Amino acid sequence: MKSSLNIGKRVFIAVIELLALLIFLYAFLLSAEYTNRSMVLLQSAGTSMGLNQNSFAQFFYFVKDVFTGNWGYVASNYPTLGGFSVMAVIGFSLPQTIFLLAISLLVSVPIVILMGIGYSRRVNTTTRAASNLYIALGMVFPIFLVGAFLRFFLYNTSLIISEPTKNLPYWTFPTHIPVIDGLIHGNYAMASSGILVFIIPLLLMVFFSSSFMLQIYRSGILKSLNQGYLGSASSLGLPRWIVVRNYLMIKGSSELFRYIPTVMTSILTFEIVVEAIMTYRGLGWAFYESIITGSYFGAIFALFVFGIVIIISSFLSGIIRILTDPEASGGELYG
Amino acid sequence: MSYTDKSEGEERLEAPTVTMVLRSRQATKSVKVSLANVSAISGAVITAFYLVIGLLDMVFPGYLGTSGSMSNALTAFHGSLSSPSNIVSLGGSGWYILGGTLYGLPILPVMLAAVKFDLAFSLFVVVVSSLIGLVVGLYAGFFGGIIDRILTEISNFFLQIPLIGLAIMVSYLLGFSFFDLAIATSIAWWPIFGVIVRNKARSVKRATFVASAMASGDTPTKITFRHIFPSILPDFAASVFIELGIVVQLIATVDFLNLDPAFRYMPELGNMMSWGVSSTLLGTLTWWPLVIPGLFLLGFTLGVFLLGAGLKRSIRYKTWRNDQR
Repeated sequence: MKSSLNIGKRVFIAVIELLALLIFLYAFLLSAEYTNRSMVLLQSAGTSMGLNQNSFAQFFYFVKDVFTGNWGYVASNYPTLGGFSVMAVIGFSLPQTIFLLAISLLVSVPIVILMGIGYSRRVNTTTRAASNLYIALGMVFPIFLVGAFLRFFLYNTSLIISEPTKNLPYWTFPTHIPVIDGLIHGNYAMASSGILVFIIPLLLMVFFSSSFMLQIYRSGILKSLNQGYLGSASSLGLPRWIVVRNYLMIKGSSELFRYIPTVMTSILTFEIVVEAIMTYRGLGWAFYESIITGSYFGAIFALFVFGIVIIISSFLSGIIRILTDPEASGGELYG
Repeated sequence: MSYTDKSEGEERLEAPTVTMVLRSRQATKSVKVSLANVSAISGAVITAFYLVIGLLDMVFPGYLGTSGSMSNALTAFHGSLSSPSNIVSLGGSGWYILGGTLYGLPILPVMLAAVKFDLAFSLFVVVVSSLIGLVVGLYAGFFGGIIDRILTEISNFFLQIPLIGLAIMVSYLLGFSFFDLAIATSIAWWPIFGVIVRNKARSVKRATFVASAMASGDTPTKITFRHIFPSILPDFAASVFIELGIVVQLIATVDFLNLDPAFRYMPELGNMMSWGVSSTLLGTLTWWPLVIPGLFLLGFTLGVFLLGAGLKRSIRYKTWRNDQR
């Protein structure tokens, strides 16, 4: 019963967050300087979305259009995707963002777990010092600075896309992810070039994401180091590695789950910066390109999709915690 | 202020003097512990170096070689690249000790002006947001219940917004000035402090001295600011320093992405780095316009991080020493 109540609460919070996100973006849409930017296309699109009516009516039109997928068109001066619908641009760029996000998380999580073991003892060890240094480097080095240095020194290599192309790359392929599409269709040249342009963004994402996640993982482990049950487990004769695996690593992971919204927000922020600097054709790049070309709908709905990804991940992590963590489910699972 | 108790034959101190002596001993010990903390000291030295650079421009406005503001000089310079006299107006040959940009600007004076700007921006954001976060966090932590719930959900909402995306939208889409951007960033930044203060306040709330204050009839405002606030101050101060570096990273990132033409020639470290990168696009691999401002930015974030982390460590050490007594 308590679990059902908690799940209901999570659903309610997710709905409120979605509503707040819509109001937030709507406020941006209202405040945008259409006339100053002389975006005739945007003005006509705004009229078609009912934005020439009173504020409340406009908001309902806006919500209706958001949910029916009428997200407007990208400005015609957009260098790569001008004239396409925002939905099409997001459909093209989102899979690449999700792909980069998924692979970087897949690589980062084992790094976090391995480096987190350094905190399983109270004394200072080399592993612990290395983990502390790793966290400090992630905090001190701005991601854009590392990206800018890499971009500068690797500019003439095939690791970076140098210029936006005039057509939609890989548009006709099913997943829009060059590596996967190249492998599926036997186009190995495309797959290998896809891997090359993927390497630097992936390395940047892995380093900064794992460093950030390690901070949270560390706090989970350090909190549980003070718990009495660890002493009991040790006094019962359990080997140290079992204590680490069964208690400390689980506590650290639970802490990561608890802070999933913050983790996702930070990782997506890294992704926006990495994609913009390295010209990786994901949603962050689409957001950046939309901003510099004054395509308001492109920018606003790219941010909307980022918001939706965060809300969904936050909702799912909340539900998983309620179903698996006795602390979050109000102790019902003990019963 | 002391008197001698003849009956017992030993000198006793009046209550206020005892407190003063204890406090001075505690302060001496605190200073000793802090001085022994190498990272805190090196962080303080680095941060002080940047503060001095920032203050120099206020005390000696002409020392950077420009008669007006550096941003006006830069805009004028970039606006008329064909006129070589503008290069001279930015200073003599001594300013070129760190080299020049692709357009012939001396890096050193522009970078010193950039440090001043970055410091002013980040100090404003951190001071405003930490004050909001402090008040909200203290009340949420102390009262708990529905107030805590509402404030937590509001702060959760703000924590779920990618701040760089928000800053980019605010600065470019809404055509805001840097001051407006600083206000918008402060509004989005307060939950970081709010969460830290709230969590600490919740744990301090269970302490005996808070229960005593409540029993003696102190008002909630008095309890939060007089009793709880001093207990969370050390952690709060440490997080303020760490966030100072992160805010500088944010503004440099937004400027590096070079979104608004109006601010393209603002003396700012991220902007300077973007000029450095643009030299690559023009086919010349001159590294110094990118690397030198980058290292300066790195130095500042390293300094405030060391100071914050060092402060935390020395505070933990002092707390541990107090627990041992």
